[in-house]
Amino acid sequence: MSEKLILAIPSKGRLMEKTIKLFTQAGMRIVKTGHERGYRGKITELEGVEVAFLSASEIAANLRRGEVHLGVTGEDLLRELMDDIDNHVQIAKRLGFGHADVIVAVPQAWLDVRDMADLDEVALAYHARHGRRLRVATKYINLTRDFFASHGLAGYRIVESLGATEGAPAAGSAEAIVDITSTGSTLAANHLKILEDGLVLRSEAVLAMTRMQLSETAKSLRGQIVSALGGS
Amino acid sequence: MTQKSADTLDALGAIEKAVLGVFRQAGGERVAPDILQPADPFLDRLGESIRARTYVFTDPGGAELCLRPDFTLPVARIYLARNPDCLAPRCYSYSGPAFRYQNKWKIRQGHAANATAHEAARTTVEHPREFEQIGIECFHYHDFEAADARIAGLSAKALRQAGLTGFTLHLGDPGIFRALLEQIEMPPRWRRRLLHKFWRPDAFHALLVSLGEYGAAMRARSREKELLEELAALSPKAVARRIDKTLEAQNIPLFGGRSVEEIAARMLEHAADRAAEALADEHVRRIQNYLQISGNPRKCLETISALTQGDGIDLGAALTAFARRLDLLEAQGFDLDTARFDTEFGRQFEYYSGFVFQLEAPAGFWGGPLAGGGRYDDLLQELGAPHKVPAVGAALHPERILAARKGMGR
Repeated sequence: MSEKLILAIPSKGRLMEKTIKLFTQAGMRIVKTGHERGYRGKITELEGVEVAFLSASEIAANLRRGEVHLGVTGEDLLRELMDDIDNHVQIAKRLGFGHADVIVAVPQAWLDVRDMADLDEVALAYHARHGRRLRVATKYINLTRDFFASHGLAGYRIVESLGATEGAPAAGSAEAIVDITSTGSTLAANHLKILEDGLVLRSEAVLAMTRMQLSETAKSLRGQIVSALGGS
Repeated sequence: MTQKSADTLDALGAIEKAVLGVFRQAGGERVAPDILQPADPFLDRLGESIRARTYVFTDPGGAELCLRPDFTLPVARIYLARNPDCLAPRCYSYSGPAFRYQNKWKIRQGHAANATAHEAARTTVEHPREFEQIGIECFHYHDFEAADARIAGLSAKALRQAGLTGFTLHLGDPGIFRALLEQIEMPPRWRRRLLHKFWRPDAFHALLVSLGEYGAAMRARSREKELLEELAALSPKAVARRIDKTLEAQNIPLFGGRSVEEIAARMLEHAADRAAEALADEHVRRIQNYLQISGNPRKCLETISALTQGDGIDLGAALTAFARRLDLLEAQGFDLDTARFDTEFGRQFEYYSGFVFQLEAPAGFWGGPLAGGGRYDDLLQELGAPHKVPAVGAALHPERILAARKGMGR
C-alpha cells in the first residue's frame, strides 16, 4: 500500500486555476516538480503528498479505481461514471466553483414541446410516424438513462457524442441533446431550448475521496487536507 | 459467477434434457440463436431502458452488439427470417445462457424498503448476470386461449419432468386493461398516452390524475393561452402557416426531424385538450380500482365484471376469452383454487400484449419464478412482419429449478 497520498487536481483551465487558488488560500501551495509542463507536483507545506495533474474525467475514473486517493473533479463526471457512486467515492466538500448544469434541450422550432411529458409524447409520435426512435445525443449516457427513466420516458435512442453535442440536432444526427451548460448562450446559438423540467444535474467542482483502503500515513495526510479545506 | 460443481452441471444437464424433451415432443423445433446479437432490435423495440440491464458494446468494426438479454426477440427474428410471409404456424425450442447486468446497489436499494437483510444478502443468487434459459415460442396459432393454456400447460409438464411439483400458477392479462381503456370514452390521444404509460406505474398514475382534472389543469398550465385559443379555430394548414411565420419572424431554423405539419398537429391536439372535459371521476376510480384487483382468478373475473357494469362499458369479448382460458387451464391440469390472478402482473414487460403467467415455487421455498411467459402479438410486426402475427412463449430457469428442488429436499 502506498505510503504517499495521491492528490489529483485538474490539469488545465479555470478548474485548475481555482483549485490551486483554493489550496493556496488554505495554506497549501501546490508546485510542479521537474519540468514546468510536467504533470507531477507537491504541496510545499505537506511532506508525503504526490500531486497528479490529470484531466477531470481521468480523476473521476482513478478515484473509482483507488489510484487517486483524493481529487478535485466535476460532480457530473463522477455521477456519469458510477451509477453506484456511493460505494466507490465519498464527496468531502462541494467547492462552489465550476458550476454547470446538465440539461435536456430540444430544437427551438418545437413550439409544442415545453417539458419532459411533451418530449415523451413527441417521442411516441415520432416513432409511430418515422418508424425509428427519437435520438438523444449526449456524452452522459448513464445520467440520461436514469433521468429519462425517472420521467417514465423509454422510447428514445441515445447517440453517443464526444464533442460539440449541441450541434447534433442541426447536423441531423440527433433530435434532442443532454449536455452541460453554464450560461445557455451556446444553446441559443444552436437554436436549442432547455425543457422546463429538464434539469438533470446541478453540477459543480467537488473534493472527492476514494473509498479504497489507504495506508495510515496517507489517511492522516488526507484528513489534514480535507479539514484544511473545511470538508468532512 | 460462482463456478458450478460437476454434480450441479450434471443435474442442470438432466433438467435441460427433460425440459427440451417436453418442448420438442410438443413440436418445438430446436433453434440456437446467436449469443452475440445486434443491439439495434433490442434498443429500438425496448428502448434505452434495456441498455441499463444489457451488456451492449461496440465491436472493432464499429457494430453495436449485445449479449442476448433473453431469447424471445432473437427467436422471433428466426421465425421472421425463415417465414418472411409469416403465414406458417411454427414452434421453436431453445436452450442456453442469457445475460443481464445487475446493479447490485439498486437491487439493494429496492430491497431495503420491503425486504429483510437476509433477503438482501441473497440478491446475487436471485440476480445472476449469466443464467440458463430453456424455452419455447409459438407463432401464428389463431386459437389464442388454447395456445395460451397449452404454453402454460407445457411449462408445468416440463417442470414436473424436471423433478418439481407443488408450484403455483400466477397469471395476468394486460389485454383486458387495453380493452377497458378502449371502452372508456376519452379523446384517442389520452388513451394512447395511458396505454403507453401503463408499463411505468408511477408515470401512469400521475397521468391518470392529471387527466382527471384535465381541462382545468391544462388551462392553468398553458402559457400560450391566447395562441392556443386562436389556433383551435384554424385548420391544420393554417396552423402550419402560422408556425412557419413565427419561426421566420424569430429567425428559428427548422430542424430536429419533425415537419411544421407535425408540430401543428400536436398544437391542435393541445388546443382541443384545453376545451376537453376532464376524465370523469368514476372512470378514474374505475381504472384505479381495476389495477388493484388480485386473488383467485374466478373471483377476479366476477369482480372485473361487476366493476365494468354500466356506463356503457362492455368487456364482453375480453372477459369471455378470459373465462374460456381459465377453463382450458383447468383442462391442462392446473388447480385454479391455488392460482392467483393479478391485474398489475405483466406491467414490467412491455412486449406482452395479453396473457402472462409465472409458475412459482410454493411459499416457504425459494421464491423466484421458475418459469414464465406470455403473449406478445405486436412484436413480430414491429420487427418487420407484413402483418400482425399472434405469438406466445415461455422460458424456464434451470438454475432456479435446481435451487427450488434442493430447498424441497429433492
